[in-house]
Amino acid sequence: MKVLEVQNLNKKFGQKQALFNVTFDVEPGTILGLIGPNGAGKSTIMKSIVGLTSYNSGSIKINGESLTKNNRKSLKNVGSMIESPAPYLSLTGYQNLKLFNDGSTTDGEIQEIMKDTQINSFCNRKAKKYSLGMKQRLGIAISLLNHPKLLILDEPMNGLDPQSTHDLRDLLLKLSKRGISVLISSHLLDELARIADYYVVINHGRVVKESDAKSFLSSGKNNIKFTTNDNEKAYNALLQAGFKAKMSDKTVELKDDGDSMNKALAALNDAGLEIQDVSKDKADLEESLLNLLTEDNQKEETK
Amino acid sequence: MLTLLRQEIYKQIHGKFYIGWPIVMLLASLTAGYFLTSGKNHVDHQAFAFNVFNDNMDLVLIAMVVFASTIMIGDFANNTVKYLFSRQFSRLQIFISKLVTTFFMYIYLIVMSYIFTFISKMIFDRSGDMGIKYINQNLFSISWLLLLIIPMVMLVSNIVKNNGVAIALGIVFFFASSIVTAFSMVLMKKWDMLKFNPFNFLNVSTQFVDHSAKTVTNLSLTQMEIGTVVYALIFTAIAYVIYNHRNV
Repeated sequence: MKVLEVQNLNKKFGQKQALFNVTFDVEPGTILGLIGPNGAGKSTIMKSIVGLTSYNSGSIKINGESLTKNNRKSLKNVGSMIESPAPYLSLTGYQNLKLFNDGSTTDGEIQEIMKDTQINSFCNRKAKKYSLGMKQRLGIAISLLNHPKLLILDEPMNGLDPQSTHDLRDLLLKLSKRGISVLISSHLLDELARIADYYVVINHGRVVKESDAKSFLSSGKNNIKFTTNDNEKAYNALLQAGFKAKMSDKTVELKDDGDSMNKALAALNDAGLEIQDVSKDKADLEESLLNLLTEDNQKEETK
Repeated sequence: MLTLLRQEIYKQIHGKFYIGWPIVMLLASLTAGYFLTSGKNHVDHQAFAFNVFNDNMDLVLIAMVVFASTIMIGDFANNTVKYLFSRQFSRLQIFISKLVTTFFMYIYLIVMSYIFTFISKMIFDRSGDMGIKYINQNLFSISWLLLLIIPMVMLVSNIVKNNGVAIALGIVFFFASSIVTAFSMVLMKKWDMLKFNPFNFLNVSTQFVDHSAKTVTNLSLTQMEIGTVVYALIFTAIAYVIYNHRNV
């Protein structure tokens, strides 16, 4: 059974349509990265899933149970941190955990959560004295209370130092191995690329792409870089051979469409150039996302 | 619901209100006791206890206005509402848990009022009885007033998003309501139907103690009590509707 099923979700803010038939699902024990530019609708989707905002049409099922305004039982299995952590500032971290525990988490489990999220060292200080990173870790600790099967984390890496980011990454991977599913959004795409099993790309309130991590990255436009003894001549040779080449300071680049490498090498040999280095740049998540968004925005403009 | 109640009470126990306000009440009881007996040869024993208790009840009234102003919007002001509303509980359950907590806080402050009155009596006026009948009458009269004023304050404070503004609005509303009540009584002389306006029912506490206030309110005590309950329910319902539709 899928942990989360979002079907044809539509949401309007007044006259403005914020979400258009958003559909995706989350499998048990997987990490799904929800990515897209600011204002694309990621937080609105997450808020809809945890019942913080209503939606106009569509459906949300958590562990097979529908989430409606009048039936929120399914949220019992969901831990979340939306937009920013907001603990009770007058309480200590530990008291916040005790407060949000609905009784199903034992003291031993709370201690374990504190250890996992590394808040032990400051959990007896009032939350108003916490830095953003500390609050972020406390927020994640709160979301882990009450045995969630699905974690919804909106920008959980904001404000974390590199070590804490690394630790959070490890924690999320550990949780997914335990069977807990994670729906996560982050602008730190490099970090997301290291943990996500799937991506759903949102742009202008629509799902632009839903794909597993491997195919998403391989769908990005990869580049081949050549370094020759005369890059200007190489650039002209590649243009003459029909490539859309680009010249930078030290290299000549072209897009790898599959068999470009051999054809380009032949063109450069024919031009009598000495090829000093050839390298392939695999598109990273950021580049793949940017390419996808550019294409999508162009489609939108031509509509 | 029990989980929500436990959480609301947990927040109060770890807050300053439930300790701070009784300390103010204790100091007020001792100060009142001192001034009511100091340099006097004869002390009216029943009046002593009544006056000390009455001072406490005035403080309870203000405390409850402050408490009711903040309990509904505190989570919005602190942004903790995101945790509160993203769980399996409905907003109605959360709203009810806050109403029940408000009631518990009232009971707690009433108990404190009795204790502090007793302490003051023991220190400054050991002899004579407490005049418990008059004290209880005072308690019920204030309770009727609070039954109406608390939902009104909750309704008004529900429209803002800041604790300080909510408290200010609640207190301003509380004092402004007595001005509006006085004004409505003038108008009632011209238009009898205005006796059913909610502000007229704020006189319920006066009429509870002094039945002759009927000539001012134009309603019997029973009518006043029924009207108070009806308006309390209406204002509570409106406060809930606003609470339910607030954006997060």
